[in-house]
Amino acid sequence: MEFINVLTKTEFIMILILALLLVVTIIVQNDNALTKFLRSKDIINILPAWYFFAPHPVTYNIYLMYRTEYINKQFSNWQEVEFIVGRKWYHSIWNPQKRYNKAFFDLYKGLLEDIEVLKDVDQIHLSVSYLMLLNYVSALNHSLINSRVQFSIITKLVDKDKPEVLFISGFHKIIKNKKWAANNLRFNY
Amino acid sequence: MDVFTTLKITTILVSIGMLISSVEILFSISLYTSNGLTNWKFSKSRSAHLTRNKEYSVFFQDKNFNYLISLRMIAVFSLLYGISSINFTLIFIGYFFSTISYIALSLRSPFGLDGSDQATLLVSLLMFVYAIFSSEFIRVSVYWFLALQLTLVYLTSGWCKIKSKGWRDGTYLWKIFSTDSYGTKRLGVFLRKHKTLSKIMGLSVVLLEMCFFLFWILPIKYAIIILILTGMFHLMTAFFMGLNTFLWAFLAMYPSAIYCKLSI
Repeated sequence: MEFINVLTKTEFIMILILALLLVVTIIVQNDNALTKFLRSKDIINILPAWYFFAPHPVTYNIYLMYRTEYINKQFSNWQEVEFIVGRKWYHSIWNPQKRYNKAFFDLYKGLLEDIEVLKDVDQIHLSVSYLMLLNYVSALNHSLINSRVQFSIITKLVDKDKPEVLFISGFHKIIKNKKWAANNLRFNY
Repeated sequence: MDVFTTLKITTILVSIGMLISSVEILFSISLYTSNGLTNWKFSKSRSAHLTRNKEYSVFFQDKNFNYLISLRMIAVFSLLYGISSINFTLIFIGYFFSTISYIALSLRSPFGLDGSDQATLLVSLLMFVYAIFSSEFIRVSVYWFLALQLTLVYLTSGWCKIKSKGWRDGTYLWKIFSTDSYGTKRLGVFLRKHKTLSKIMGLSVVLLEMCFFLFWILPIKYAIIILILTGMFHLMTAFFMGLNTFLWAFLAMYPSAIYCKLSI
């Protein structure tokens, strides 16, 4: 108690806050209901997750593919969006490409989590991850009007030869008119 | 190592990481535009709070977002100049702006962020607390928080790995190195052919992380060796996995660990 008497009120409060934050960071390293609850409230992403490729790391490549359905009902070939350029020596110092790849992977993970949560899987087209991916591939087709776009996520496991389709979207009209989009698209999330 | 030297080294290390990540984000700014993967209009709909408060859109839409990232670079220069000239006002401003910019980036979009961003946010926030208060008690508490957090990092990572069969038998290691995103093709192919080596390397990583607690038990000259080994681990992940910013984010916690170790 002598130690506490030596501290001022401010010092005592700050040390308590730091201790509490430390305890919370320890708690959230466990995967349980409390952690899920705390992380759902953590919109500034301050609660760390120190798992680092554990217990089950990413051991496969995923690729974003898209194709267009033209006004004459013909389809384009599936095209790949290239996020990864391959390891270069300077990536140990400078690696901006990693953010694209990570963002894509996070969106894919988000899509899987949404599929798990949704009772009606057809509602997946309303999920944030789905819409962000759709927006992105639609923008890649900016020169095409009155066409529809479809995207898919595929993987090629390192010990298998054939790629596997992990997710395939529906067809969506490419929106050219922002006013139309603002008036007609509603997101309940 | 005194309180100010710890502050100085921490600031230099975290500033290098912040500078690299800021310039990287500016070079990959297309990620954050309306046509990018993390379009703000959709990103904000992940939270009712972000959707309801239109003020966020002022800061996070396209060009304004560039200014937020530039703020981080200003923070870096403020910190480095503040440290070199022992100007605590500049250090305070630097950590304030860096904390704000990291929080802003998390609010803008958590997609694409990684463990180094989380670590840097924690370091930045704690050092901001350090800069606010002149109390030695609070400042030393900040160092203890960072030192214990560093211990938590390695123990959590090691514990999660040791529970996993794929890490114990080395399978995960060669598979990770075989991926395009986090691997190096040649190394992946080599380890796939030499699975015993892959197992040894995987177990070595687990052992290193799990044994970090020895840092607090061993005499200082051996404890430093543990830090050197973990530092080399981060260097290798930077080189072989492209995790460049992880190196600086976690090295920034090392001075606190050394300070606290010397004080016990």
